[in-house]
Amino acid sequence: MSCPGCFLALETWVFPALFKGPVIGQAADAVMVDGEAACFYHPRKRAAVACDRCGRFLCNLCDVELDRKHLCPQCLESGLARGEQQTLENRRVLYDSVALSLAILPLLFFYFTILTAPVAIFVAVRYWKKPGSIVKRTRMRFVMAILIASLEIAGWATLFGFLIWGGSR
Amino acid sequence: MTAARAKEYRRLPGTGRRPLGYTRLYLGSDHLLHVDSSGYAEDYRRFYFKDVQAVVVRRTGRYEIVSIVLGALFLIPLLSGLAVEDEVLRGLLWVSLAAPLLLGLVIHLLYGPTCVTQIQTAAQILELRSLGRVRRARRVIRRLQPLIESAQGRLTSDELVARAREAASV
Repeated sequence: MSCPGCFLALETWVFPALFKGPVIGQAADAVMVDGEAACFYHPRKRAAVACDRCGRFLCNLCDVELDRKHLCPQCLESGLARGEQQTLENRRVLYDSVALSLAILPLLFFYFTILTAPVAIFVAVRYWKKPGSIVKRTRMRFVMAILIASLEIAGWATLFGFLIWGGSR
Repeated sequence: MTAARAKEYRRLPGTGRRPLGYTRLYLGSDHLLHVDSSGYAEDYRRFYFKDVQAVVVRRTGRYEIVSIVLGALFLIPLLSGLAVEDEVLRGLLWVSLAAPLLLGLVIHLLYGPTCVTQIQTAAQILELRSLGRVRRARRVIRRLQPLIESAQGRLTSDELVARAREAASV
């Protein structure tokens, strides 16, 4: 079919979710009987489930279902801060690419490598354990950055050595 | 564990180019992952199969425009070479200018018609830059369709018409 506005060809794949209304969440039930398990964050609401991480009782409002686990808001936040909730991560800095670029790009203006080579090694070592891209798994870029930067430092050391000892003869 | 996690995402065909970066699509177990990379940082968007409402592929005129432009640019050194008497200069013009343009034109024609592909959920509509060619978009959607349908169920054409009428009458 064609778009009625611009007349360019259109192909559309439609799925049942288009006609599904918004999901209505469950309201938290009030505690009816004394001694009944109550939510840790809402003492007047009945506990529906326990947090899979810390064990706290949670009402329907506090329960966050993620990757088939039930989490409380605090565990969710702390998990996100520690990088444990990959499902919720929206951004990652690629420190391996940063280190490799610091090692390679300054070679265009060779003199900068005297400064950038140690920085490249520092970045590679400092962020070695930091999770990289969600879709890539190897640390090859870090290894290459360290190797190239080490060669640059060795080159500078050789040059200085030659200038100092070569000049003193 | 590394091997298992490495297979968590499978790369789908296509790379969307943008200034200072690129976009790619990866297939997860229950979602489609859109990666927008600047080379030094990646931004992720997930489209869970149970949430995908529609995928739309809209043809664009870029295919024809680029074909005409490349064709015209190819003709300039070609005709200039014919007008030049010096064989070395003619060869230089054809090899250094005409041949790369011809190669670019042939590759562009072989890739096929261009399009804009958008994926829609209740929360967002996103253009999938990596699916900028009709053939590639159809190939990827053919791969996604059974996964989305297994998560949501299938919509027959009668059901689609009935639901569309229902939605229009509200």
